[in-house]
Amino acid sequence: MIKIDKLKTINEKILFIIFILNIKPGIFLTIYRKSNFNINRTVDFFLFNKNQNKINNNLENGNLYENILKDTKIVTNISSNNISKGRFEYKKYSFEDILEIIDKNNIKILNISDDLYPQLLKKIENPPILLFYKGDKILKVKNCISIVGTRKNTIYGRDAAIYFSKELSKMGITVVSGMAKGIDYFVHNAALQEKGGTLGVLGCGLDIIYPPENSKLYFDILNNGSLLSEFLPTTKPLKQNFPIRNRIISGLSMGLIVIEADKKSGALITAEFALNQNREVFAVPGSIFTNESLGCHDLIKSGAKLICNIDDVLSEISNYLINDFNDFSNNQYFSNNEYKITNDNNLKNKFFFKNNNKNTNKINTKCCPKDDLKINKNLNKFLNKEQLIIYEVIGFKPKTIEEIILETKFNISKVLQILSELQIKNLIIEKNLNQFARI
Amino acid sequence: MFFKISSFALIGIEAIEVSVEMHISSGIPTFTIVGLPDKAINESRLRVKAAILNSGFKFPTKKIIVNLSPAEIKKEGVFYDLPIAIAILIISSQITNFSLELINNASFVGELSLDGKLNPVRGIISMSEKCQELNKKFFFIPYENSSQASSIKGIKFICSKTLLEITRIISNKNLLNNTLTNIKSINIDSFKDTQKQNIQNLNIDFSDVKGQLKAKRAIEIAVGGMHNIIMVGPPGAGKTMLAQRIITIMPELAIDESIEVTKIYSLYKKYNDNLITVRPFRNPHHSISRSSFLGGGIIPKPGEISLAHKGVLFLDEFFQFPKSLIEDLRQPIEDKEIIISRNNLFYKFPCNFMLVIATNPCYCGYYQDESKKCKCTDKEIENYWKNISGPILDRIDMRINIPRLDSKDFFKNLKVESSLEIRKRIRSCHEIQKSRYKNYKNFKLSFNSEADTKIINTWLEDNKKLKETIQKIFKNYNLTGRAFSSILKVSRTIADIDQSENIKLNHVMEALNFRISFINK
Repeated sequence: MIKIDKLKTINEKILFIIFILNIKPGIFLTIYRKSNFNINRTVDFFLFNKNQNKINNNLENGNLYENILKDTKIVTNISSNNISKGRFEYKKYSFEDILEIIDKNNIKILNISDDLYPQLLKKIENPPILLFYKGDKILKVKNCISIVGTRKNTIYGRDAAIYFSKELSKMGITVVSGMAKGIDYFVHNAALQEKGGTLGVLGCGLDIIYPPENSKLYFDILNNGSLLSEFLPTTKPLKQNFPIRNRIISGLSMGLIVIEADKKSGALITAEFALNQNREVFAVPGSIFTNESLGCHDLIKSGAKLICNIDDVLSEISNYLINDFNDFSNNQYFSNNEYKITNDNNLKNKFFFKNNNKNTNKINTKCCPKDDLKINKNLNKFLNKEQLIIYEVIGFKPKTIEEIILETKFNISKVLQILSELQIKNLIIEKNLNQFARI
Repeated sequence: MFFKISSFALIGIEAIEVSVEMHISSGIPTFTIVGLPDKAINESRLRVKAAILNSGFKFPTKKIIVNLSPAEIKKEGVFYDLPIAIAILIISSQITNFSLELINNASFVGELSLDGKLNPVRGIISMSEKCQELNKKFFFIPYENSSQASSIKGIKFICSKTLLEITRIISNKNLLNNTLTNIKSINIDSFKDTQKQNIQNLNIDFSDVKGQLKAKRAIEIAVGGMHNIIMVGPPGAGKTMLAQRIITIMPELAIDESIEVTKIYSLYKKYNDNLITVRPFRNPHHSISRSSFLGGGIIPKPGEISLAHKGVLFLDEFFQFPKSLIEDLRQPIEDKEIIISRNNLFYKFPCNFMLVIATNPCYCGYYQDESKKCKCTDKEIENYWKNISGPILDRIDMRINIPRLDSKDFFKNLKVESSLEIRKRIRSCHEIQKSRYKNYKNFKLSFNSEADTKIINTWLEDNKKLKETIQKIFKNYNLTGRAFSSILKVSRTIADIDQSENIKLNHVMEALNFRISFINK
């Protein structure tokens, strides 16, 4: 018989089953569910039953169990259940190498039977059997909301991301996102500042920092959040990994907020997962003149909730919020607005649902992101005559330099001058090539 | 018997005097040329023999040795047919009645054809200039080279069509004087007239380009200070069209500049036309070889960069050019000349051109395009721009985007300037620069783009407030020191176009446009 006791923990056994014996996670999951969610029985099933022949053969050929561990090479990127074809990673590691890397990088593992494994994620159709993580926030997380969006964001998108992320985090809600550039980056960064913290779900192994620009965020996040991945450490950030990890982003959370998604954005894939997983989908509207928010508008058209402020989000998810309401009452947000909080659950619902409540308006104005841009009122002092003329000609729909000249009758030299003055004052931005629009 | 005739060899753009020495002695009839001749010179023995016989003379049946001195320099070309033939005729006493003074004060070049006709040769201007330098009075050249040669003053050119004609002129003083009157020297008025005509014949004008006002303004500024320029835009945006029209807004070539350009072109091929009056526009394909791009060959000839002297070198699809070729451009751009060394000799070719680069913004070509979506990933675009060499990009002050414009009706209402109007502004801008840089005695420069940091710093000395404001802006945009000086150079040119003595904030503001909106900042 095989000396299974070489594998010390249950997690190591599962790793062995999935990555050495190459059992598809889907099959593992079925067996696990059939065996009444008893992880030990499932593991035994695979180790002693199904592959006994294979392992016995090895023994007959004179290979000891240790040799299997040492010699079997793991092809790291067939680690996920959805990959049937695709490029193979040629750099191979032995099982022992992987265990060493996990140990070295301080990566911890949650398996699907753990109590601390996120409850919401457990319930989706195909949860990851093993969840690698760094940073202990994941163990304490109760309520999550995910925010996703384009990597090529505008300043509007940035502000929206920071606003929603910060407000949610202030309430103690953990914000989940994908650790990518653009919107994701701002979401994580803003959420870190408040108590809710943030979870980053990676599309590669946890030992790889991708994209490299985010390396500071990668380490910052460990203070007040955690990094998750279902991919075996050493897995490269391959194109096909990202849609797969998107199901975890939506699966972890009660609802999904989409900020700035183009027509074919990956954020829309996440939104589709969220729908299939019965999660709320929220979309932040954008300008109708640019491409950045086309996907969001499509989502709204097909039924996603349009959100203008944090209340729009809270009113939908209040049903899901898990206990600890007291925790919220300590929040400044509530005390400022003179709400008296009791432990009564009904009250809580009332409170969140009150769109007709007079006080909601108060909140609206207070935390509306537009408040930061007060410049508009003082434009006359802020700009000289010529600048004002050009600023007025430039609307939110991008205009070419030729159009601006035709409308203002200034000469090209003057227009170029003023355009860069306005850009320095952060009033306009260049969209496309040689086209300008207000921020 | 010994006889000696003066002729020339070309070393790069310079000519050196070569004396064709001849020794005839009795012995077995042979005809040898020494002094490192190439194949073409060796074959000249046969041409000379046939030409002499067909002109009605006799070829001496003696032992003939020709030495091309200085003997250590490799010689090439067909310049020596005429001097060798004349030397043979004189030495064999078939030309009598000539004055030795005339021969000693004259130089000869020309290729002979078998029937005794004279064919044109390369590099006639370089040789004439050397002739002038050596204080020679007469220069015997083929007739078809006459129009080019006539631009050099102080020498008497004897342009003839056949060998026979030359022998007659040598032996008859009256005929000599008659021939001399036949050649017209170029006067400035006629030069300007032909120049005007030639520019018109180009049939291109800046007013052909509709819209693209920013690009046009950028090109005007670029020409104003002779700044190098890069144009980034999707296919079909009109980059090439704009580039071709740059030469039409450059100030017309002055007569000495025209001679300089023609000098290079006459090295390149047998250019027996008139002077080149229009600034050259060179548009080499990216498959070009190193030696035809920079100049080279066993005996170096000018390459594309020298042919673009005083004009525009346009590199379309810049990223397709081999990287090493682009790196080789660095030194010529700085020094305005390229030096190629061969066999202890340095071949110098001038290459004072304006570099115009055009490229797509990414692999698919449609990054940030209004209507067509770019298929490239961020990484691909980053890699694409990594290809451009930093040092070369540093030497490019003006960077503009050229978007595709739909031919909308509203362009009809836009005022379009013709090349002539723009050229007028640029001419005065160049004059301002010329008069300013006269005072900088320690520096050799004539345009803003050539200014170095020392000079740039003097521009802002008086106005410290402006300097601070500019530095603040630059910090905002995260611009480097190099960008700082390059933007200031452009600002200086804008101020010159504006006829303003000092750089003002609005000039800097306009100059910023040609940096900050560039895709790859």
